Amino acid sequence: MKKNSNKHVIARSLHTTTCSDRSIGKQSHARLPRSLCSLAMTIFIVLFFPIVANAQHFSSASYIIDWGNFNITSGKKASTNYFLTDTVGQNAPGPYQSAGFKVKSGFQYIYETFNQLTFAIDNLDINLGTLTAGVASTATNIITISTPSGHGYQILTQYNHPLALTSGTTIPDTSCDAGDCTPTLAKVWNSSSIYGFGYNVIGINSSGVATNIGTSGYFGDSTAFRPFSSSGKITMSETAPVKNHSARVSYKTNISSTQSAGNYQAAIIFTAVPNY
Amino acid sequence: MPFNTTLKPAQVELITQPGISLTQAYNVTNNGDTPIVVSATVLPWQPQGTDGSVIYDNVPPSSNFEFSLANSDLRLNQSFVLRPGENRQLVLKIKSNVASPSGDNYFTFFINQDLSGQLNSDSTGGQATGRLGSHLLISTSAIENPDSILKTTTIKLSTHFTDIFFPSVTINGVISNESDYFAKTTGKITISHRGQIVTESELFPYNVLAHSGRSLACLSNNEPVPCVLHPPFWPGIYTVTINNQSANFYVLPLSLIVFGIFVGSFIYSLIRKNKT
Repeated sequence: MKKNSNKHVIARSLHTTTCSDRSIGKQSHARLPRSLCSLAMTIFIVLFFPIVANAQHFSSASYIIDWGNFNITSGKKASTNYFLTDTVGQNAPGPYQSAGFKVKSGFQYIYETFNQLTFAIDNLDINLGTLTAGVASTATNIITISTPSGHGYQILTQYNHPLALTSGTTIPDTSCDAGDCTPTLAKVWNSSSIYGFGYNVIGINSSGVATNIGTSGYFGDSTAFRPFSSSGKITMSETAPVKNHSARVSYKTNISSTQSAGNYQAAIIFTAVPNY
Repeated sequence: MPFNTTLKPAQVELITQPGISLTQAYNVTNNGDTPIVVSATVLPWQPQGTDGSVIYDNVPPSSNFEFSLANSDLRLNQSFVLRPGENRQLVLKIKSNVASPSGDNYFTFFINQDLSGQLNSDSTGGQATGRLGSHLLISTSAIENPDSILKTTTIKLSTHFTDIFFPSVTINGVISNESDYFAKTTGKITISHRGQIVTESELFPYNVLAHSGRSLACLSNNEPVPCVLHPPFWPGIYTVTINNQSANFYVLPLSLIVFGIFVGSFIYSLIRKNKT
C-alpha cells in the first residue's frame, strides 16, 4: 500500500512540475533550463520518494541471493600514521533509540565489537634444561588474551601431574622459602636450599616490562611462586574487556643432590574463559 | 610452536523448554603459523565469587542436557587438525531432556589443544597447551520470559567522609539474584545532595546468575567501568541510591579549614612580629 501511494505521489509531482527549454527560459528568468530541471527532479524524486526497497536481488535457475545492502566501498585502510575504517553508500546507518530499545544500524558498528575472544601462548616448549642440584633452572613463555566487548576473563593454570620420570619418580611441588605457598597462595622462593617445582605469572606490557596487570591479585612480584595443582587455579584475571594483555610465565625447579637423574616431564594446561 | 586461537561467539545465552533440541554454531580459528591439533568438549561450571569468575572443580555433570557435534565428520572429544589461518565451524547440538527441571544450567564449550605425542623427552620440562572456552548459559522454562528477582544487597563506599576537593568516592555494590533464572542488572546509580539529583549513571548489564550475586559496574561507552564520583563536592551529606538501597557519605570542607588556619596563623604571626 505504501509503495502504491508513493508511486501515485510521484506521478502527481511529475505532472505538476514544469520544465522549460532554453528559448522559454529567455522569456522568463523564473524558469530553469530543461536539463538542469531534469537533474533537480531526479534528485528530488530519489531523495524524497523512495518507492522500492534498497536491497539487491540476484537469481538464477539454481540460486537466489538477496543482499541487504550494496556498498560503494568499505573496509580497513592504513598508512604510516593513520588507520581508517569506512563504509560508503550504506542505507540508513546510525544509532536509533527509543524507550527500551537501542539500535546501532550499520557495518561501522562492527568495529565496536572488533575484539574477539583470542588466547595465545608464544612458546609451548618448556625447556628447563639439564638440572643441577642446588641451582635453580628456569624457563619462560608468554600468554596473551583479548576479550570481546562486555567481558573480562580468567586464565586458569594446572599440570597433568608433577614433573616426573617415566619410572614415576617426581620432583616435589615447591613450598617456597617459608614453606607457606600453596596452589592458590604465592610466596617468595629465592632460597637455593628449597627444592621443588613452581611457577610465577607477571603481567607485562607490549615491551615486556612488568606491569602486574591482571596478575597482581595472585602474584605480588616476580619472586613470588606457587606450586602447580592438578585442578585449574586462577593465575590471571580482569573484569573489563582487554586487547592483547600479556603475562610472562616463569617456570622454576630446584633439585637436591639426592634427586634421581633423568629428564622429568609434565604438561602445563592454560585455560582461558571470558567472565560470564 | 605457538598456540593462538580465536573462538566465536564468546558466550551464548539460551532459554529452552524441556525436551527441545537446539544447535549453536561456533567458529574456531587458528591464528598461528603452524598447524595445531584440537578437540571440542563441554564442561559444566558454577559461579565463583561476584566478579564473573567460574570454577570447574567438583562440579557434577548435568543430566539435564546432552551435547554432540552436528558436524558430519566430527564428534566431541575427537581430535582434528586446524591448519595455519584455518577457520572451522563447529555446530554444537544441545538436547534438553524431557525431564529437565525448570532453572538454569551453565556450561563451557571448550576448544582443547591436543597434547598427545608432543612431550619433549630430551630435557626436563614439558609442554604447555592452551584451552579456550565459550560459556553457555541455559535457562529451562516453560515460558519465554521467566521472572527473575534482582536486589541490591550491598552498597560499599570507598569512604564515608571526604573533603570537598579530594579524594574521589568509589561506589561498589553487589546485585543478587534470588530467582532460578539468570538476569541482567538494570537500573541506575543516583547521587543526590540536599534532595537534588547531582548525577546518575546506568548500571552495566552484567549477567547475575541464579541464586548468586554480581558486583556492579557503571556503563560507559558500552563497557563496564568502576563507579567513581569525582570531586569537587559541596559540603554536606550525599546519598548514593541503587535500586531502592542507599548509603550516605559526608563531605567536609577540611582543606578550606586547614588552609584558613594556615593563613590565619601566618597573618597572626606577621601582626605579632610587627607589634614586637
